[in-house]
Order: sequence, then structure tokens, then C-alpha cells
Amino acid sequence: MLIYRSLAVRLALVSLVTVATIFFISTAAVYTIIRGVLLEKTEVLSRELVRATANEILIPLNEVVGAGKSLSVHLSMGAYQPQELFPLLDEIVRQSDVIAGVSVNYEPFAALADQRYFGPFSYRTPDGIARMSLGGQDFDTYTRDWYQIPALTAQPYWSEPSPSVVDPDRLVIIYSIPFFDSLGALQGVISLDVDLRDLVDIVNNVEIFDSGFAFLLSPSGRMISYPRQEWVMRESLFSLAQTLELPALRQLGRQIQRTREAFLTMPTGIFEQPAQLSYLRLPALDWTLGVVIPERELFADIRRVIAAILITGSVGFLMLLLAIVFISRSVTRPLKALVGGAQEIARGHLDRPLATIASQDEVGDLTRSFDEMRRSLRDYIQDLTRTTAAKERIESELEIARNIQMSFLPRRLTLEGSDLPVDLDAALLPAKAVGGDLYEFFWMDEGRRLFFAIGDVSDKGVPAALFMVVTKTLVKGFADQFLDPGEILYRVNNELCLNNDSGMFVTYLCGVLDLETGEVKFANAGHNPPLLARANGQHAWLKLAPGLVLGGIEDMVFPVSTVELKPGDSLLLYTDGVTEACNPENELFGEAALEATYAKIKTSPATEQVRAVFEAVHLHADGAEQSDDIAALVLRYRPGS
Amino acid sequence: MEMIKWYGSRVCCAIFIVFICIPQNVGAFTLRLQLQWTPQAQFAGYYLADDLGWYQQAGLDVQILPHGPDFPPNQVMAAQQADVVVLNLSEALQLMDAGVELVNLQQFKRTSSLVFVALASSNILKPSDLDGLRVARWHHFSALSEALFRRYQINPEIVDQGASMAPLRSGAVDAAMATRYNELVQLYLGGLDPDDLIVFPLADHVPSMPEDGIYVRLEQWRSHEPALRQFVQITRRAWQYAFDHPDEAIQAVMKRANEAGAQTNKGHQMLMLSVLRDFYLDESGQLHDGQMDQADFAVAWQLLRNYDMIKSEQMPSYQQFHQR
Repeated sequence: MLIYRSLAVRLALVSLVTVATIFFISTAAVYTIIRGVLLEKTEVLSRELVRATANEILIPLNEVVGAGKSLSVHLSMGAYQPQELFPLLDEIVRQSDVIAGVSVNYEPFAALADQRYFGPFSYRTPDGIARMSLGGQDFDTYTRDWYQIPALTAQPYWSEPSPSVVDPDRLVIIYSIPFFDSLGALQGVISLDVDLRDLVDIVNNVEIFDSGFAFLLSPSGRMISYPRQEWVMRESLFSLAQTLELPALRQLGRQIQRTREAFLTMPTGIFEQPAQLSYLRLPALDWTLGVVIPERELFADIRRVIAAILITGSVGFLMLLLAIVFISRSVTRPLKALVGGAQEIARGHLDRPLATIASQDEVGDLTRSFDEMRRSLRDYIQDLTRTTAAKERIESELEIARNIQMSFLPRRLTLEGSDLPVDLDAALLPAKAVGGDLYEFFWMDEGRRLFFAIGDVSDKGVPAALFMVVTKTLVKGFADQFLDPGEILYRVNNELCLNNDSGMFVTYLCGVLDLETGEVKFANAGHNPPLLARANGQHAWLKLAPGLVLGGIEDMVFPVSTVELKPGDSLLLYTDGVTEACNPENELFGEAALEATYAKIKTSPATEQVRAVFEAVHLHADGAEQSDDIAALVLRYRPGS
Repeated sequence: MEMIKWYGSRVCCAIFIVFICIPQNVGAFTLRLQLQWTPQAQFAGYYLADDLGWYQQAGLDVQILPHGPDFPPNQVMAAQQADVVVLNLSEALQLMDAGVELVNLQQFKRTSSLVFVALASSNILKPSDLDGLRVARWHHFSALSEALFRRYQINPEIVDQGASMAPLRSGAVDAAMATRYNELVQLYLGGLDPDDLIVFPLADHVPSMPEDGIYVRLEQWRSHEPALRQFVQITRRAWQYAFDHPDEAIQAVMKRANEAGAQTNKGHQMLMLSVLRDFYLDESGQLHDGQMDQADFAVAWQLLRNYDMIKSEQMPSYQQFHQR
């Protein structure tokens, strides 16, 4: 389910998330790029630092190497006798700042035929140069690394740090170089001691940032110099890897033993903080000089930059948030007012004007349009109310008029004292509340004759109804004076033509039936011919002498046609509303359909026939609106006989 | 460790030991214990028994004498400056040959932990590949190396071996002797993986030479048998404890090593102790019975005799030598 969120919240959310994503991606990119640049620079700098430090270490060592090589050459050339060596060795030590001691060790019995060990050794003491002889039953020169390895390989050798023979608390490294006789046979090994402290001090004095440091490792990974004193000369990278259970450290140690120079990220777990390592294996010595640079310090500048970016970014975010809230408020405030106004309108309160909006934007336009709509709606509803009231009044008046009109039409045909010689019924269905059709029947000549008629005013509605009433009144009035229907219509016509400014007229068909003889005198003023059904089963359209409509032209004569009715004969009079009734397809009911209908019903009682005609018309109309008044009159002469 | 013994009379040293030991010889019987090498896990059991006060609780006054390459137990014993020493059988037999009557009270390591080791890059795959190559060996174990060379009928250039493995690493020698528990561990902690090395255990090729036995002079055994039996019992118990509590054992070892200024580290000692387990314990993790096999004794004597490292032609009595 979606939770309803206001426009302001959605706008703020989408904008902030988008901006934040862009911001963080760009910050990360900046961080990565700067970090890469810094790393590159650090690599260059640390490599230079390591090389410079290595040189600092190697320069004094080169002096040692030089002295050793020179002495080796001289001894190989036989320049000195073994017993004469001490003054030379003293001088070597005296003249050097680096060489802490020098000895010449001969192969067993090579110096003196009766002496297995011969090793004159001059060394520096605080009090000057001292002398001693190396080798003896408690000091087997020949199994010492510094002797054995150059003796066996015929190459110079730098030993790992070991306690000095003359002072076990002092660590020395020994450069040893073999010398040979003229035939190339090994004569012995020269050894030169260098105080380890002097070298270690060089490394310890290397400064890199606040917490960076340099270190020295022996070829076997032992720590010759390291900030943690308790590890120096005790632990190696590999022993620490073992104790601290850090396989990565062992891998690093093996890598250092196998590559001369590298700049790499320290494997995690070795230091608490991530760090970069740069190292170089010193030539000849095979020691590793390394520099560790903590990333915390290395990247401190980036972190400052990133922090600044983040802080300004956050302030920017805050401002952006405020701006978005402000804008969305200014958008949604009138919208909210508009929503309130719309709800008022929905409740029907159209009179309350909407809050006016000054802003010249879409929301202002919307509000103004909405208010205009409200006003139009209000005016329309007011108009509608008025119109409806008027219509209702008219309709009620029309209803009254209809009742009055209907009350004009005769209801029932009655005759006092004897049975009716006719069966007559008529009906009228106005198209509007009041109609222009009419029918009429009444007794004449003191009940010896029956007047019957049907008519159709040229219009419908109230004017037609009034015209019909006038016609009816006139007919009734003249029928009291004259028995001849032609005479009656002649006089009515002249009356109607007087002051007939409205131009209305009426078609009118009337007949006077002599109840004794069955003779009917018809006069027709432009009306549809009636249907006549004979008692013998024949029926036909009755042809009557034509006459003009009533109310048209003055002094018109209406010829009279006479028809003899036999007992059982029947007449159907109707208005054109019957034959011209339309269905939804605008097809007329037609005279043929009326005749067909009539054929089926012509022997039925008058009431039945009228009802059947109306029903047939209704069926044909099939729901289409009635466009004209419908009227029908059925007269059956002596039906029972 | 037993590797480098500077044979010869260490007169100065002996005098020094006599000097410090004499005042304590008065009163109750004092057991002066001489170990073979600088403080390391090889002696963890003795340190623990002492540190836990077990010797003292049993009424034994055990003095662990300063130990290291400067104090070879055989010389200290010959000078009667120690009562109890830890020796290899070869050293013990040579000492007896020199006239010191010894009794073996306990044999912790019944086989040799010695190996020949070469760098894998040297393409030495089997002992016979050593023929003509430069091989370093400890002089006092030359009987074993000679036996190996003779068995494979090879003739390497033999070099006396010192205390370090640098000649091997520097390529000065093609192969060198090592113990499983120290030098091999040293090489491993110098960055060489097992794959980087070829190792021939001597015990696989030549008669076994039991190491690390407890020895006393015969007359001491005769006069102080109950106290010495107790010493052995407590020491056995302490060794079992050491293997069951390696951290505590290493702590005791490191304490002694630091006091002696030995440049070692915990990693090294831990690995050493774990190698020693294989020699000291049976499959169930218990100390084995500490017996020296008579046949081993005889084979070892014969081996030394064959290479003239023993002058006497009469093999000492096993029954007198091995007391349980």
C-alpha cells in the first residue's frame, strides 16, 4: 500500500536523494583520485628516502669493504709476515671511524707450523687500541660463519649481527674476506668488525611523519632495528607471524626475501592501523631496509579535504532542504487552500469566494480558473433554480388547464327512459399537457338524433386547447339552433374567422345520426375520412364530400354527405395523430396499419376498439416521443339487434 | 642444544662453577642439574618442576646450573661439578669411555632427532645425491654421519659445522646437520617453508641414537637412590604437565631465556615444544615409559666403537648403566 506523502515531502525526498547520490559519488571519486596521487607521490618519496638511507648505511660499510679488500690483496701478495701484523691492524683501526676491530685469521698451521690457531686481532676500546689472539679450544675460529663461509665460497661475506668477542653486550657485524697464497690456496680470512649501533642509529634517525618509522631486517628476517626494542634481535617477521598467528606476515617476509625493492600496502592484521611499506634490500649485506608509513597520517590531508567537502556539502544540503521546503510550501499552500475551496464547493457552498492568489504562476492560474468555474456554477445553479420554479409553475397551470380541457370533453353517453341505440366511446391522449384534438357527442332534437364529431386544431398546447374550446362552444351553440351539420359548420367557420389573428384553424368531422332511421348526415372540414364497418363484415374508408378547414376562409360552404347505417354497422373516427404516429425509426403508423388493426377489432365493443387503436399506436411508437395529440371515436349503431 | 660443544677443558669455567657450588654443598643433599644448551623448550620440564616448587615440596634441593654452550655437561660432569646431567647417549658412552661411571635414570627421547637438510633448489633428492658435495656435520655426531655415508657408499667433502645454519643458507655447504626441534624450526622461522627444504632424518637410515637422557654418576646413585628416584618421578610429572599446558611451559622457558639473555622468541619455543611432543609422548598423549632399549644401547656403543670414538673394547654393562 502506498503511504500518502505530500508533494513537499516527495519533492524534498527525490531532490535530496538525487543530490546526495551525486554528491557522494563525486566525493568518493575525489577521494580515490587524491588517494591515488598521494600514494604515487608517497611511493616516490619513500623510495628516495629508503635509497638515501641505504646509501648512508652503505658509505661507511664501503670503507670497511675497501679496507678488507686492500688488506686481502696485500696478504695474498705476501707483503706482511704473520707475526708482523699487529702494528698494521692497530693502524687500520686507528684510522677508521667505522672499523671497530680487525683480525687476520690463518688456516690451521698455515701461519706457524706448530700452532693450529693464529688470529691477531686489534680492536678499539675506550682507552685506545687493544690486541688479542682469536682462536683456541674454547673459540673455534674455523666453525664461525664469518670464517667458514668466505673460506668455503672464496667470496667476501657479511655476517648477521652477533655479540662482539671482546664485549658480549655489544653487537657487531663482521665483514670477512678470504686471502690466498700465490698458488691460489686459501691462507686465511680477514675479519673487520663494525659496531651495529652505528648503523642502527642511522635507521633509527629516519623520520617519516609522526608515527612512521624505518626498520632493518637481517637476511633471515630478524629485526636488527625496529621501534619495539623487545623485538630487536629476538623476533623475526616469521617468528611474529607464528606467535601472532598472522600467515600474511609470513607471506610478506618471504616476499621481502625474494624481491629487491617494493612499495606495497601492509597486509591487514599486522599493524592496528593500515600502513604502506616501502623496502629495499641492501646490496652485499642482503639486509632489508624498510619504511612504514601509517595511512592515517599519509591520508590525513585527504581526510581534511573530504571532511571540508562533507561539511560544506551538509550545509548545502540543509540550505537545499530549506529551499525545497520553502518552494514546495509556496506551491502547496495555495493548492491546499484550493483543496479546501473545492471541498466547500463539493458540499454546495458556492457562495464562498476562493482565497485570492497573487502569484503569477500555474497555481495562480489554476486558482483563478477554479474561482471562475465556481462563479459560473453558482450563476448556472441560480438560473436553473429560477427556471425550474417557473417551469413547475407552468406545469401546474398546464395540469389545471388539462383538467379543464378534459372536463370539456363528454364522458359518457346516456339516454333517459330507454336503452341506448348506440354503443359509443371516445378517448383523447394529448401530446402535451393540453392538446388541440377534440371529440364531441351529444343528443339533439330531444334525444331523437345524436351529434358526434372529432377535430384537430392546427397546433398543440394551450393556444390549441383554447381554440378547441372556442370551436367546441361554437359547435354546441349552433347545434342547438340547427340540425344540419353543414349549416353548423358554416356558422362556426364564420365565427372562428372573425378576429382570427393567430391564423389557427381546425379540421373537423361531424355527423348527425337519426336514431330512428340510422341515417347519418356528415359534414367534413378537412378531416381524415372515417372507417365504416358494415354488419355484413365489409369495411371501408368512408368517402365524404370534402370541405375546407374551420377558421380558414369566411363564408365557406360545407357540403353534407348522407350515409345509411344498418343495425350492427360501426364507425371509427380518428385524428391524424393515429396514422402519423412515429416509431424511433421515424416510420409512420399509416392508414394501412390502422385499417389492418380495424379489421381485427371492428366487431368489438366501442370501448374495446378505442383501447385497441391506442394500443396499436403505442406498440408502433415503441417508446418514441408522442409528437401529436391522438384521438379516436367509435360509434356502433344498434349493435345488439 | 647439543650442537656445538667446544670440547676441551674449560678450566676457567670449571673453576667458576666449583666456586659457586661449594658453599651450597653443606647440609642436605643438593642436586646440581646441568642442562645441555641455552635455555629453551628442550628443558621445559625441569623449569616447570622448579618454578612450581615440586622439587622443593618433595624435599629436594635442586639447583639448575647456568647452561649454554659455555657449560658442556660432559665436561662439567667429568669435573664432578654437577650431580645430574642431561646427555645424549653418544656423549654418555664417550664420557664412560673416559672413565666416568654413569647411570642412565631416564631416557626421554628414544630416537635421534638429527637430520641432514639441504635446500630444495639443490636438487638433492636422496642421501646418495650427497656424494661429492660439501656436507657440514657436528663433529661429535660424526659417527652417525659416517654411518650414513658408509651405508650409501658415498664420499662427500666433510666440513665441521658450527652453531648457525648460515653456511647452508649462503650456499657455502650443500647440506648440513640439524635437529628437528631447533635448527629446522630456525630455518622455518627464517622464512624457509617445508617445501623449500629436503630433509633426511638420520633415524630412517642409520642406527638410532637416543637423546636427552638423565645421567648421574654411579656412586651418587648408590648413595642417593631414593632422592634420585624422586627427582626422576617429579621431572616426569613436570614434563607431562608441560605438554598439557604448553603456554605455561613456554612462559617458564621465556623467563629463563630472558634471564640468560638468550636471543630467542616465543614462536620458536612453541614450535620446539610441539616437535618434542612427538619424541616424548606416546599416541595417547602420555609420556612413554622412559626405558632405554638394550639393543639400542648396544648398537650405539658398537657404532661409536666402529668409528673409533670409543677406545675401550669392552662394552659397559647395560644392567648397571640403565637403572629404573
